[in-house]
Amino acid sequence: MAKPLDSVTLTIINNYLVNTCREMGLAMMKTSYSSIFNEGLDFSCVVFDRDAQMVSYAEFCPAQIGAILYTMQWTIAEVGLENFRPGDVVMHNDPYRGGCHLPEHTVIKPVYHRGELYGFVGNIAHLTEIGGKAVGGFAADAREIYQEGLRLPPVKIMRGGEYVDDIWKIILTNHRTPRTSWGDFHAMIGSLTVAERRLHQLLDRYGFDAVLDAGGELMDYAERRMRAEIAEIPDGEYAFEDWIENDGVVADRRYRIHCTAVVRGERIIFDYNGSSPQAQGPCNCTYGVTASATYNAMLNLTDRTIPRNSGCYRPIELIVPPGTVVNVEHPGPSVGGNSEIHERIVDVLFGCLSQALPERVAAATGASSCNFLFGGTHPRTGEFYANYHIEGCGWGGKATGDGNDSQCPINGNCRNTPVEVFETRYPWLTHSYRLADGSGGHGRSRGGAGSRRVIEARAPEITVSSFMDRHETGAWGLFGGEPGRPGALRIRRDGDDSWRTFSEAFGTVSPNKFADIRVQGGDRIEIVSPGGGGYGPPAERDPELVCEEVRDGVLSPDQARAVYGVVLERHADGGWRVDAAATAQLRSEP
Amino acid sequence: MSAAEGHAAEGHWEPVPDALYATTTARCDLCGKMIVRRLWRVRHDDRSLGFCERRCQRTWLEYWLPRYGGAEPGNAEPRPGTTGATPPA
Repeated sequence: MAKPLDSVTLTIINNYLVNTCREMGLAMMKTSYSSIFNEGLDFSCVVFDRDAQMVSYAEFCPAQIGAILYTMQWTIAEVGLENFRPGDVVMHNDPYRGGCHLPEHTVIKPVYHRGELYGFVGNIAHLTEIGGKAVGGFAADAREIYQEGLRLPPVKIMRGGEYVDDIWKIILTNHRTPRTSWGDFHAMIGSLTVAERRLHQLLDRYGFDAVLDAGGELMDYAERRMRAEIAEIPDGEYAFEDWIENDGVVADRRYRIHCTAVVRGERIIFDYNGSSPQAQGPCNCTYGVTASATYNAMLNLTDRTIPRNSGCYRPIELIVPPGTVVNVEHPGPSVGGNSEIHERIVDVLFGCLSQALPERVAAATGASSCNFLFGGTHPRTGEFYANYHIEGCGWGGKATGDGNDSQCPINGNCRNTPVEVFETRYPWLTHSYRLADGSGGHGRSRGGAGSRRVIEARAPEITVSSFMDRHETGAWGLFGGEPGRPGALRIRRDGDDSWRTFSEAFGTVSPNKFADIRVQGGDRIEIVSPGGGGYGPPAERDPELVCEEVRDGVLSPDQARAVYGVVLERHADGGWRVDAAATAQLRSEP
Repeated sequence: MSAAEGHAAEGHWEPVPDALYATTTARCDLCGKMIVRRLWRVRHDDRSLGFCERRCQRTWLEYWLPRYGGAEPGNAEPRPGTTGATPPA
């Protein structure tokens, strides 16, 4: 047993471990092949100790913040500590073993120091292409997991530092873009090597027992901090629910996400009982997704300086009935749950806790990643390509200010792909990419605006798939705030004057969840992401903010008056300014 | 010994059956989490329950049983009076 560590040394070790995870992410970003890696940063990196507890995590993609706990723990348990050797790398993407959905692959490597196992380094990342019925691994009309792509239980892809060729052949043969998968897998494996090297340096400097003990102390510290935060929430039961609009398979059937947050002293239970039975289509969430969303919500509502490790999750309990849309069972499909429903679950939890912590939560987000997948043979290279494209959406207004405009949803934290990169790599021309003005819900704090993008196919044929939601009902507002505007997905075929939904143009069951539709060169596609909900009554909004939006062209003077009760007058220079007296008079009228 | 520890002592760990051809994973009878290798087996009245950890047994006794009675997770209706978004038309 090493001597107890002082708080300064503990802080240094914590920062070192977190920065190790961040460096892993940088290595993946710099060396990967696909844009969802090097532009989107759709991955997470962790260090675990030998008890399968998460010691550190880097803040890349919150969609995986809970799932990576379970994929790592499952892998370690299933393989067995006694079966790991130096140089081994295990891979796994099974949604029923803690994963998020099939595209998300976890790799894990044991770290030994002078022959003794310290723990594991791992990362989880979204592969663009994994086979299955739809290009890009997003079979939005899948009825079972076998249509969604290649499913891997924990298997060794490296054994003692050597490739296990048979496994690699199986994996790469089943992907449409094996060269890209090869590159991205090696970015993942390379980041493990980076972390392994860093851990060796840390262990050399502070000693094996000290670093192991520091991890335990840091987790206990995080647990104490989280318990203290929960203790500040008034005891009670807070329930809320929201609805998924369709599952891509059955038209017009809705799916309920229901949660009751039960606060009892330093404990909080999130009880998802009452959620709909699992859907036929892939709007289902795995346990890992629901856990990720729950932790994501809690981390957004509590002190950001709490270390993100296993300790901070201990006081948070989940009840997630199997066989529901929030905990899919075999053989239910789940590809959309991670990318589109995670953010909806966070919204539901914000709705629950808006009753206890009104100053900390936000109104609903647009809650759509606008998942748009495409692929085909590239006319320039003659090679098959595939891409997973996402959009930002409007975030909900909050007590402290307006919602963010067109930002990747709360599950992703991903970056958008610059138009220049998009057009260089893929055969599309971007005609328009801008904020969808007026799409944010009105309120004391306005909901963020969604975006509108119009792209034109520049190849003879491109196969596209989509998984989007919030196209019927906008993001809800809070405390008198108004809902945001729903999103949309439309196509204007070459030679056609009208924009049509994909159901109208191609007869898909769902207008926004479909797979393998072949568009032709010259066809244009419009993607509109949903706006966020407003927070608080519009009549309480600062008149100067309203005036600024009129100046920016976001609002008309008539809207300022009708919605916000703000009267504007023209400046001598043609600009607008607030008529304070008239505004006060208008706002005082019943 | 606390009440929770007392309850925990009433169960035992047992291995989770596994086969290469198995298609399903074991799930905790309270929290719904996937269980690998071993589960915490408890008998309550005439029921046999498998939990992923002892804490779930405690939560089952302290929270689930008083609230939902004998209903299994997924089959219990939420309490009325829930607020939330308006379902789409």
